[in-house]
Amino acid sequence: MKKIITNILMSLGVAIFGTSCSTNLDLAPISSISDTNYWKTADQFDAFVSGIQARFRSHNSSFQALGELRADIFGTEPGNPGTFTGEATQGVERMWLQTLDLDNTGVSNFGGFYSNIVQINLLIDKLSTSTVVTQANKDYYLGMAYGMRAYYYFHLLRSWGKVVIQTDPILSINIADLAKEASSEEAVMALIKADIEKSLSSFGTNYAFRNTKYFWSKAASLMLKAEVSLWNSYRGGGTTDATTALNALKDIQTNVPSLALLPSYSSVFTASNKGNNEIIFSIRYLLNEATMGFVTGSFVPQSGLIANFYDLDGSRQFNVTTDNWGGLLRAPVKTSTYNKFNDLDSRKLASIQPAFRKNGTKFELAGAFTNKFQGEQSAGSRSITNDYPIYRYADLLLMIAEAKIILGQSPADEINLVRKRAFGTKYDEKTLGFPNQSIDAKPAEAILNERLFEFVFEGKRWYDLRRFGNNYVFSNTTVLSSEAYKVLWPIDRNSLTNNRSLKQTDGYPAF
Amino acid sequence: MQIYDAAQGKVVWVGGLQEGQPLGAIYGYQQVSIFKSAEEVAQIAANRVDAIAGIGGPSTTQVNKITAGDVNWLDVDKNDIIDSRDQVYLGNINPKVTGGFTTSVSFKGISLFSRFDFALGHTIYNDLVARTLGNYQGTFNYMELQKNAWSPTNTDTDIPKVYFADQVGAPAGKKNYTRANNAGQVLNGNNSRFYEKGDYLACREITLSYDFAKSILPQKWLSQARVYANFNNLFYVTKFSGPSPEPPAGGIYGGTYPTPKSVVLGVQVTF
Repeated sequence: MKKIITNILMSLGVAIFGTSCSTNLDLAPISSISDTNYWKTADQFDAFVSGIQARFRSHNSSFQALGELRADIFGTEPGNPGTFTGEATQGVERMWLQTLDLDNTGVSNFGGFYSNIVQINLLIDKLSTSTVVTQANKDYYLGMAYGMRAYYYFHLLRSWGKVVIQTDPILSINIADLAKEASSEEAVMALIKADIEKSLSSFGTNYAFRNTKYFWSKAASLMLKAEVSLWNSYRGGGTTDATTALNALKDIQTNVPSLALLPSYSSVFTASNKGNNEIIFSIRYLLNEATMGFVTGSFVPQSGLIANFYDLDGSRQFNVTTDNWGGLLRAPVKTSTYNKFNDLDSRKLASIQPAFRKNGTKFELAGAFTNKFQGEQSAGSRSITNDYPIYRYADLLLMIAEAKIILGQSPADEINLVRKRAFGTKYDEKTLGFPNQSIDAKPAEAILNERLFEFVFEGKRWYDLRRFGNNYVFSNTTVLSSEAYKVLWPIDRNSLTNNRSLKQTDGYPAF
Repeated sequence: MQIYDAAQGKVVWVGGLQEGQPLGAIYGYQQVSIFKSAEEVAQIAANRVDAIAGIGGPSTTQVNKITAGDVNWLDVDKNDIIDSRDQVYLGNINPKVTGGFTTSVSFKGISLFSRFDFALGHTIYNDLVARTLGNYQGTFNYMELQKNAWSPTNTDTDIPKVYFADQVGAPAGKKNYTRANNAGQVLNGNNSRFYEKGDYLACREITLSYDFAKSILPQKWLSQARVYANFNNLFYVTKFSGPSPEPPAGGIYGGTYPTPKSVVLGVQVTF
């Protein structure tokens, strides 16, 4: 009996050892995605490109903050450190008060842009050696990758000046050598220009939009080229760069004839009108997929607080049902900005919501906030699902006008197209058309002003002022000419600590 | 982060995860005193610039001024600028020593069991008090301690003058109560006044029981009988002002329910 049991146990042992040694332990992971098993099929490339667009969307709030929060649009009313609804500005005020430092940078870690730059670098590297992607897709994706990388570096250049350049994919990390020095502004600009050219040549003659315009396209690269060239034309490039800009914009007009201004300004932005004829490139939001979190986070009021105020001239009291903004108002629109708009201009109320306070029997303007991106109602609450336009046709027209001014030509045609749409039936060329408004005596000011009215909350104003020259920044914002270093942004403490080769932006205290 | 080390006479790297340095070290700004009057500000801090709050002494060009009721910060490097280099070591979030002991005493049928534990050497950032006193938001309740804040009639205190939205820099706030905090809770870089020693002795359990003598039990029915009272979490011996001095996650006390006290009364019989 005992012998039998021993035999059974021994044979079991043999069976166990026999099976456990027969399989190879040196396996590649099957279920988890890694660099060794990715990049095998065309689908995987498609998914990666979508991932880059999704990550681009996550940088939306940085694009907007860098583009206008330090300009003259947002701010609290004089004498009131809080917002008119009673909400605290919670540090956002540092942007328009120009009190940023390394602990309060407004936008930290370079907006997180490098997280996508390294992904784009990886995509470029893999596309150039891959044989599974069709040539048409390969060209389109390379065009997107180079164009978007240039777009990121243009933000970095305009906001921090000297920045770290990374164009190679990071395939292995030497933990002892993480520090990297920033490159000169000239080197960054050279990279931007080279990337735009690579993007345009990759797209070739393919002007098609993909995914209802939330994929980067050739037209987007041309818009960027025009923007970069205009920037350079004010910095020594003169008429040569202005001509380059004009040609790039005309190229879009010729080859993408479907682009046009929509008859109604507000319909450009509505959540139900995605990828419309005015849009060239936009960031896509969708109900149950993604909403613009930064809008409710800082730009629209709490529903309960706005219900204490009244709509235009007291026409009705706000209520928590229809005015269910459900946000936190950290960055109201200054009433002085609101008042700059002509009352006949449809962009006024389509961009800014005024709030009136009842004083006895009269109503007085208490404050304002942006209502450009109103989202949609879903199950009793509001979801901000509008697309965020990066480039649209009005931008194209106003850049043509700008280039023409530099070249000594009349910008009237393009400016007036934009004004005509804005004023609609109230438009009268004799009083409102270029050059008949008083501001038109100074064409550069006229362009800047028109762009202010057109692009509130689209992240353009600060960059516009910077593009035209620092004097425009000093005369329109709270940056003093004695503190000219503040046109750039400070680098946050974490970035300086993690990369010891990085130096604080010139002028800002190092501690 | 980098702070000025007076002993070495230079700026050194401290905090975070670094070779040769402890985990959980806390650095912040040392509150020396509260400025009693404008004269005292002029005397001590005429040329001082508080770069954190964006305010300055009467002789500086800063638009927003240091006034009576503001904190007199320790200027470690004595350069008349209060910035991140002026932070000092304020403790560690982790206890140095933890332990416990039990005692058991019995006399005749009565027995007493007790269990204690303790932790020594940790520091807790009392964010709840700093945030509430700092009036972070208009919707906060006030607390008793606010009565001790600086006022023209109460100048000898260690609680700064009350402003709305202290966490926001000049011109709205002064960053007296909190320096690094804004919306979120931050461990390092705040006012030393609100870092408290967390040392405690906790009475976890006391059990008092009585065993009935067998002689008085009806032997036919019962072989053993006992009544007892069991008390849990009766008290802490601590100087920490919050309800629980046990090290909170991340070293920040942001408000919590107190540890529940419980009493169990019981009868145990064996048939």
